[in-house]
Amino acid sequence: MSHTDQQAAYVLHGRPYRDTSLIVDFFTLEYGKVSAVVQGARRPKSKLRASVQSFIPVQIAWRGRNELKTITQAEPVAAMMFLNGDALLCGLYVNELLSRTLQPFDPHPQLYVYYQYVLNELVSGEDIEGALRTFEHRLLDELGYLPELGNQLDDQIYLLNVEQGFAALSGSGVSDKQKPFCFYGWQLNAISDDNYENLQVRRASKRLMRLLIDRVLGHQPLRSRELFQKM
Amino acid sequence: MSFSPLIQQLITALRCLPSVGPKSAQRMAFHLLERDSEGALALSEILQKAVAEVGHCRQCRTLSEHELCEICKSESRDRSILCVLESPVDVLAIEQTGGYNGLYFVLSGHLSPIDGIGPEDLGIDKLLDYIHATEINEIILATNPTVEGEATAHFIAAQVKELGIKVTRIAHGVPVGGELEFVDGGTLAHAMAGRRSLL
Repeated sequence: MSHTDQQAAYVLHGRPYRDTSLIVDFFTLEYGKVSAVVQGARRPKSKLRASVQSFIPVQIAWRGRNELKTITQAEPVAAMMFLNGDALLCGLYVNELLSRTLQPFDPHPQLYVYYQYVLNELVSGEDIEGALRTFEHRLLDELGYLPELGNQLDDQIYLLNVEQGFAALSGSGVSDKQKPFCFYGWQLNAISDDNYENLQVRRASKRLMRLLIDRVLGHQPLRSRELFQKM
Repeated sequence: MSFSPLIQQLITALRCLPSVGPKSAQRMAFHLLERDSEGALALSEILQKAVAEVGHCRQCRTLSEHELCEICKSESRDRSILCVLESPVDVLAIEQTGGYNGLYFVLSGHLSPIDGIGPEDLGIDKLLDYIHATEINEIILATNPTVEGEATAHFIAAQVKELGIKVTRIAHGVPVGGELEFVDGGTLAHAMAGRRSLL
């Protein structure tokens, strides 16, 4: 494949390349993560520059035989989304998460739709936390890192082993060491349905997603999460 | 054909400059050696001196060979207002407008979590120390209007929130003398959202 037609995409991240160009990681609908050079994007009068900003849906076309493509066309397709304040930092978090977890040219069209969903929620600002949890849940599911969540007994306590999934905890009492890995069945059932109305479910979900994401990412922590903690 | 080692070294050294490729470097080297040896000596002298002596202003972090730069030293500047920028070049850009008479603080870039650049890499801690130590009424966040620049501005705003200082962000807008027809959609949308009442 040396040439593509118009592809729907979002910019995950851009970094300077040579004097006037950018290397941009796109999240595309049909091809997953694609890295491409946008030539001349850093020139003062570049028309492409406005088209390669994060959080704007764009149509792009590229050419090239190697993994690093060259953008031949980039155009925004919808009005500018305004992400401000905390929503902006959440957007950077979602982008970092995708950049770190997606493999090049590994398509995830469903995840693309959830990405659009989470961006819309960030713009409206109504339930950012719920949207983030839903997105993390779907991301892990798509990538195959999500243990079986639903159909648990409501009052049973389950112990998470990040490699093997959940096991019902028998016997009495939970040790302090086990505590961060314990979840009630009803919490897991709610998370499975993406129902985050209950505050306890929210907290449990945040804890669960963090454990699972950290396992996927290995030892390198997410920098945008550190940024949040410093605020 | 290959050049003698010294000429080759000069050409390679010149390529460290931005937008200088092999061809331009070659042209520059030959120009300096053949036609302008005086200029070349002056250049080498001043280059060495500048690199050795220019550092960062203790207060605003811009480039200066003095411990305190001219702007921070000046008596006529308004010390109650501080403009936060991403790089020393931006100081020059704003100074050239002639419309600003306050002080500056220069960060070393912008926040970019994906690249692993956090607040401590930018000197935001020094900015906060500076704000705490002086009496400032307004902070203008003039980081670039990119996603990362916005994030940096928001981060700083959140850090100084409790101090009761007025925090402003530069406006996005249509270029002077421009025509709406040719302005990109993003800028125009921002300009519409940030419109001002005339009456």
